Amino acid sequence: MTQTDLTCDLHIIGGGPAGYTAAIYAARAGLKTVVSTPAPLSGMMAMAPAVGNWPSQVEPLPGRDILERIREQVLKYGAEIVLESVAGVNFTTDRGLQVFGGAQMHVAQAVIVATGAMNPAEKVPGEEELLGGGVAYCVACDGPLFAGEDVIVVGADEHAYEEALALSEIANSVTVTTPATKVNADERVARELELPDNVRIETGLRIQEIVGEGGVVTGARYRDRDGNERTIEGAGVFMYLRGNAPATEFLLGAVDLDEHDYIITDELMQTSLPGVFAAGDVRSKVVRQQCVAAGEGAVAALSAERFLHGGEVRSDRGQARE
Amino acid sequence: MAKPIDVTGEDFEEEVIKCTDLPVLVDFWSETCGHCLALNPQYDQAAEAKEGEVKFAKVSFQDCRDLFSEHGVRATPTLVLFKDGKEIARRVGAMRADDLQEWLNEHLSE
Repeated sequence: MTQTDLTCDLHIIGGGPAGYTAAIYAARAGLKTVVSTPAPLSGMMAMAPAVGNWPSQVEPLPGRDILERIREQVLKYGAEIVLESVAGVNFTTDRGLQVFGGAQMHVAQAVIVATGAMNPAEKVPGEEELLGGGVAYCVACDGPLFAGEDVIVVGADEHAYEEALALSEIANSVTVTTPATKVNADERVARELELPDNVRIETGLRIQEIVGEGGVVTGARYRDRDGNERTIEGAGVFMYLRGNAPATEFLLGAVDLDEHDYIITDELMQTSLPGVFAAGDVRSKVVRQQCVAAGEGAVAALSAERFLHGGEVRSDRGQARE
Repeated sequence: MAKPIDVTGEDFEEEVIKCTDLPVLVDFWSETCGHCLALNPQYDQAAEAKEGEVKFAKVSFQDCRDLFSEHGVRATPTLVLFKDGKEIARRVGAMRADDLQEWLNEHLSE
């Protein structure tokens, strides 16, 4: 098997303000910390065009600029950032908490779930019907099944473009479609996207339906900004649409969720399963703000640290260390 | 304790298609698929619970791509349920062991 075992003290799932702040606190506390995130800058904050209520930020800045500074701080304190989508977990083994990324299994003694609430709330017509017939969500999982074929990537954020880049090495052609008028990826990704000849970006297209015949995908139907419809052909449609639903499906019921699938925690961010914590928008709560998510990340990390030390509180917590 | 068996192109016919003693559930999976890895412990658990009722098998994409093409598998993990050599149900994605058992019960009682 190609999967590898990567062990750490604390595994954080999610690279938004909650996950990255948790990583800063954990790494500063000396915990071996790994963060899994689908893109270097992900989540709601990375999409925010201007953030004016982040403490100390007098003039509004793009959210990704603020998040980039937080990410730099994570790296400065020695946490490892792994670019991958977490697809599942196994918290029932006595060999640690297992977190499954694209092609590897991480094993941690504590986990913080900070995956946010940007899952699509509804499926696109045809998406469920053609699941298994060419609808896909993960290039590491299903990309090789489309070797040499024409595929479509539906999405507008950095994760979608990273996946498109990976697909370009497998598929015959990749068409990236987005309803936005321009890509929402950083300059590095945009530069890389210019390289492959087999990648085409189509902006201003809103997906209406995934179409197929006999249970097999043949393409996707779109509407442009003028209301005109067109169909792009492809054997596979990789979906990276964003919405406002919590990203908790990968937990497979490992922790208790509320009636809307948000994770239930106590005030120390502890979930129903000891050693597993949650922070940020994925939590069941009322207020969803970026600075609140960051604060919850800090609480979750300190709680995880306490859990890992059997309840013992470190004397140097909160003090600067160089 | 019943463990899923690994099946390849060489013994798929014998282990799955020609198996008439029990229905056979096949997990078409990939080593690079996190959803598949997440399903593994749930699949093992379900195999244990359904011992004597359903035979559990696994086909790896890395070992036998041809079987994926032959059976029209375009996503991983895809679970295909065979009875008397014929496909009677199919489902895509990771799921909990109890949901998997429920799904099997539903299709095997038809």
